[in-house]
Amino acid sequence: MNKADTILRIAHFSLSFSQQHTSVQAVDDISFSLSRGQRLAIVGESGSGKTVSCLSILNLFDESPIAHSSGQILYEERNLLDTNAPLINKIRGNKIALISQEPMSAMNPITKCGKQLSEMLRLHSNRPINTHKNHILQLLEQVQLSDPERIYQSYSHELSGGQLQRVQIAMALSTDPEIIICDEPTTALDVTIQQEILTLLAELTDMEDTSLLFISHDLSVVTQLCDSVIVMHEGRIVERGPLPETFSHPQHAYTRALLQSRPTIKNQNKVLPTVTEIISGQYQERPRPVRQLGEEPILTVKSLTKTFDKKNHLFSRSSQTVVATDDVSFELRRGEVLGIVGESGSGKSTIARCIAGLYEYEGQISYLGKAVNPKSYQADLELRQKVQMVFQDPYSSLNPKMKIGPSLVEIIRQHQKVSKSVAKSKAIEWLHSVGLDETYYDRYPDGLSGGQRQRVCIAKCLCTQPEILICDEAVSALDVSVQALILNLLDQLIYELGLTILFISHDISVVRYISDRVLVMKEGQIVESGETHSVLDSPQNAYTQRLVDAVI
Amino acid sequence: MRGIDTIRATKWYQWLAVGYLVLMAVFALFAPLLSESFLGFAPNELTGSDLYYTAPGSVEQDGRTHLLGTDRMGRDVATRLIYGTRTALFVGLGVSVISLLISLVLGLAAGYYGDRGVRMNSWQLIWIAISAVVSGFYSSVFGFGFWLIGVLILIGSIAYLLGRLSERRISVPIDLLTMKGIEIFKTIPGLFLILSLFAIMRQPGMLTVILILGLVSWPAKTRIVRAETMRLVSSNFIKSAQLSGLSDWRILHRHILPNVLAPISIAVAYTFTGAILAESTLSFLGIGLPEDIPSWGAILREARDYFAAWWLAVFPGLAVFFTVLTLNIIADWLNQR
Amino acid sequence: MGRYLLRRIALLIPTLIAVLIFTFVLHTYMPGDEIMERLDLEGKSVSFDRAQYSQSYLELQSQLGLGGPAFYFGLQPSHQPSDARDIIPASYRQRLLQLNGQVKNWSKIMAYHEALQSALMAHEKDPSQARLYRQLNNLERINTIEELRSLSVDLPEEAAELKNVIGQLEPSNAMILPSLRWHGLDNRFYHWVGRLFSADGRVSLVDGVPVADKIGAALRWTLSLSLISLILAIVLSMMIALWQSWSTRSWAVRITDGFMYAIYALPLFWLATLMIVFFTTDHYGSWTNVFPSIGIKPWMLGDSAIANLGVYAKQLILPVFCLLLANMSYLTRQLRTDLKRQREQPYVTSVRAKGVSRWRLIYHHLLPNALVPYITIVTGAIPRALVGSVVIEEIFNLPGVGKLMLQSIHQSDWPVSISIIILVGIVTIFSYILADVLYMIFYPQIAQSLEES
Repeated sequence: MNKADTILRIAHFSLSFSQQHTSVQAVDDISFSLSRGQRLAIVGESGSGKTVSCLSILNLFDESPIAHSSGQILYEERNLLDTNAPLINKIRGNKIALISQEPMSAMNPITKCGKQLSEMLRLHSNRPINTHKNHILQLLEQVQLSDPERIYQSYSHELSGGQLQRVQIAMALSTDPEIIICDEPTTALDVTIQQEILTLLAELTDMEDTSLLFISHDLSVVTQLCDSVIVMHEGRIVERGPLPETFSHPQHAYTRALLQSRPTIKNQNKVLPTVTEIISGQYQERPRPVRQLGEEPILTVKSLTKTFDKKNHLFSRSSQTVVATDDVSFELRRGEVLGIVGESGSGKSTIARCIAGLYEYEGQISYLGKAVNPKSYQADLELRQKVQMVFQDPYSSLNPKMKIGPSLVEIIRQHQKVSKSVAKSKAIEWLHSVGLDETYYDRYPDGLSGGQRQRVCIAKCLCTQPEILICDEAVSALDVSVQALILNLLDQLIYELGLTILFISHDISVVRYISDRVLVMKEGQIVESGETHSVLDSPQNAYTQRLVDAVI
Repeated sequence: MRGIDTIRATKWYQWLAVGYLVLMAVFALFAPLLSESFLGFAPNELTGSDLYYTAPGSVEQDGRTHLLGTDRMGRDVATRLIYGTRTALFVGLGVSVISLLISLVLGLAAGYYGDRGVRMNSWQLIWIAISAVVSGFYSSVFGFGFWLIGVLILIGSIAYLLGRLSERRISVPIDLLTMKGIEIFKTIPGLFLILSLFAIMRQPGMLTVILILGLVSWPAKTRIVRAETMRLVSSNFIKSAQLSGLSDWRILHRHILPNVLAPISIAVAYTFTGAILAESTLSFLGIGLPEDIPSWGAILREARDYFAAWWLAVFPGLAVFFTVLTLNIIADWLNQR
Repeated sequence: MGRYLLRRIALLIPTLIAVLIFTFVLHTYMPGDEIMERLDLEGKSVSFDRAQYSQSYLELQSQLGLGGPAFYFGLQPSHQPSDARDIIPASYRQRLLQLNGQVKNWSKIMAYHEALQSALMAHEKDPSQARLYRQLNNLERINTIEELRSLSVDLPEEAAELKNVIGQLEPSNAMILPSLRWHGLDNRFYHWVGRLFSADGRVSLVDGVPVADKIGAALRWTLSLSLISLILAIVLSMMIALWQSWSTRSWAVRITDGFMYAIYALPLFWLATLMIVFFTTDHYGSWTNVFPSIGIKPWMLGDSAIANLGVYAKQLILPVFCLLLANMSYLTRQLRTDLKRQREQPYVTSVRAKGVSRWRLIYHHLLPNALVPYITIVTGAIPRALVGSVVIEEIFNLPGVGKLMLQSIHQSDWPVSISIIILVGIVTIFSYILADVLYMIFYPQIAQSLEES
């Protein structure tokens, strides 16, 4: 890497946020440089400071009274951290553009996309105003959006996530910037769309020799797109180097931990290592507990159809209907983990909710050979409560006003006639079994991390002594290292309690690791099913093939 | 730790607000003691005829001083102000409680059950309609008493039993009915409602004032409770509570209610202010509380009869102003937390 | 959009019906007896001739449709008559109904009533029977059977028949049964609604002036008062809130915030009272007597229109100022909070990353978003502006709608008060519609979601 090629240099940059009377060090003395045409990835888990440091490149914390920065961010011989507003506004968007994570919330909700795009040109381009629209339509075509005219006239809520991300790319490219900062641009998207966006980014930046600063938590995405990487952990850079060498021969223990705690084909039969284990060097490979698979179906779903229609009560006629799942049938056998994979809108969560009893449905679902009333949860209460569910978002899954212990005791006493003290000791037992000690009994959820919350949620489910546990994207919102812990926990619980699990996820590699059999869903229907390995290793269906390809 | 942080984060004006509120509570609680031992006047005591509209600081023949002057009838303003605190707090508290109760019941029901949550078969619907009419009839003949609660329980349990007769159920759109009710209620100007109710009541006492103001101020809070409940119902922890077999009642009072109370407490604080303002405005207009109950607004009204008596305009006004300011500060404080 | 608006307007009908029923109930329980007032107006005040007075009373009552049952149908105890409006006055009728509540036999009560009335009629003009007349008069005030019986013991021989009738009144413990009665169209509500939309409903009871003229004259004041202050408040609040978000001088922003906060807590009636106490009289030095004293001067025909308008304008300064302060502090606080909230939205980061200036961010991105709730707030202020600030009009003695409403309720002048409430109801619904139309024009994407719901 030639020094002359360096266009952006970050030197000893630190950033802290003051909170009331304490200060949180978000970024701690990091230095790196970016050269022309380079595609640099910054990877790390949530809270590693990767997003904060990239937003600082544009000096976007200049108006925040609680952010304090030091060090230098040098672009064209100028420290961006103390550039005045008019000058930095000439750089923002014009020389350094940003593509942010959630395309839906990154757009101004009440302005048409076309107008937001033309604002970029109005600010930075010398083109005559009457040519702006044509230029934008060209750009929209360039990012492979069909019907650019319609997109031009649309509001952000009328477009899908993939479309919006393309609009953002078009916006970033509209001023031919030298650097594009991508802040987890594909995280909120489905895998197949993720692929398309990555390919598009690669093509377009190649054409213009634009530098790319790509922030992600997803190591496989990074390997695919970038030529060098920086690994961040707790605000510091722990490792840097070219790709894919850095990932094939990681030097730092943390990088190793990140790589190894991901479920892959290689560690399919091992207990997943955790970050602390690897960093402390205590990790020893050990085999996963062997499951005892029964042949007897514990849950049978027969031609399950769920349609949503708007309003249906005393004073209104029903109108539009949307079919979420269409004539789906399968069975769940005792002791197994059945994975359901599919992209958003495939109806996989709808199935989970129908089985759990949150939705009414048409068709038949039977537990332990007995069909339940599809219209009433209350009718077969005892049978229904053998099925419990863990939700995706751990932050809304716990009552913020209730201590953890009492919320477990409440459920225990609902199901067993026991005294309060007995219930309390049982609650502590369950907390132990999900890997939390008794100090959690008197804590409120607000101080807990996502992983700890998810453990509490599992403990709450276990309190009802369920036969079947539905995990609806239960590990999707978690960091890789935490994800590994939860997957290990599930594995252990299956072994100890003989649980049967319906595991719903969009993440093929997680499903491959945890499940014995798998269903692939698309647009409300099952397109392929069978033993996990046979389905995912040699997919018969073109859609499954695409999903599997997108991961590797 | 949490407690210390809270104290540290408290701003000076928030401390002042708390201090003022405590002072008000003391005034309200010990009004007779304070006014008799320190000021020496009773609230409705008419002092000597030469003491009409006397300025602050004027002294009675027996040596008692009118700290803040006297009014049209020679009553001591300071004493009436202290008793006015009592009236204001009592009205504010009463109105808040009544409107909170109404909005909690309606809002929780509408938000939790929505348009589909309550389902009845036709037997139940008919039974409830008939028994509502009949019990309404008898309560209008015999008056609303505690017996009504027993009757309601009886009606409810029979309705429950009737539920077993048929599985074909119709949804009762509680949410729709509540929202339409609010919409219609809101087209009637609130002031008109208050004025007409006062006109009907002829001689409203304190309780009537509280009841009327409470009955007028429920819609906004009902909307908040409903919206908040709906948000909670769609959150995962309520869903998992339902799945783990907890009863609706338990979910409502252990899981939803504590979470609704935080956002609604701000609205209640504003209702408190609103009630105090409404009461003093009404008393100022000469409607509302009877003459012998001291109220800040009533003192202020007398300033309009005699412009030279500035103390009648300034002091009660200051009392209302600081009370409203204090309560607003506390409401916003609740909002931030 | 069209269908949505139609549905909104269709909602007018049930709302109006509800408002009508509601005001009817209020009206029936309102103190004051319209018939008595009308008779007074005609000079037929309570004459000493009972028969004549009650005859003209009943005539007017049936003429006005105030006799008969209250509604199309009713649920009453089966022993009570469906209506007894031909028994006057109302307080006496009430007592008879109470007596019937104990006896549960209306025909016996009617027999007693007739005997009592004929006895009263017979002895009314006879000075020698003054004592008996007083006794009989006293009976009219009794509402329990026991009392009635004990009093009847003292009645002289002349009233033997009455004594006999009272003797037949026995308290009964019979079950009270509800009976649902259909009254048909000849009911008070029906006639009341009819009168509301007829000539009767268009003339004030107090002075015979057409309601439209009264409300029209009042509207002129209220609208000039509240519209001026509302428009000024909107403009000022926008300017202040925008300046506050834009300014980097935190002390100045904080002072303005505090000032708005204090004004927001200022009770309107106090502010207005302070104004008139200190600025319209000489009591506190002649230099404070800046503004004309309260009340309205008549339009001087001799003077030029401009001079007259000048007088009116001077009259309006103080009230407009008071209302302006109140509206402005409220609107500024709302807009400021919404601008702050918008500043924290995630889209702001990406908008700033585009390189927009501070002012452009506020004016082109934050403000349009912050104005979404502002529309609801401002349109919601329209019906309130119509009722005007009763307090302001009362204190400054301006003959506006609010004052008119207060007056008409006090004087039980229902044609005026009910016209005002219906007017306000309609304006309220139209202000909702106006808000929706504004959303459709400025925020079509929000209007869409409204339409779907």
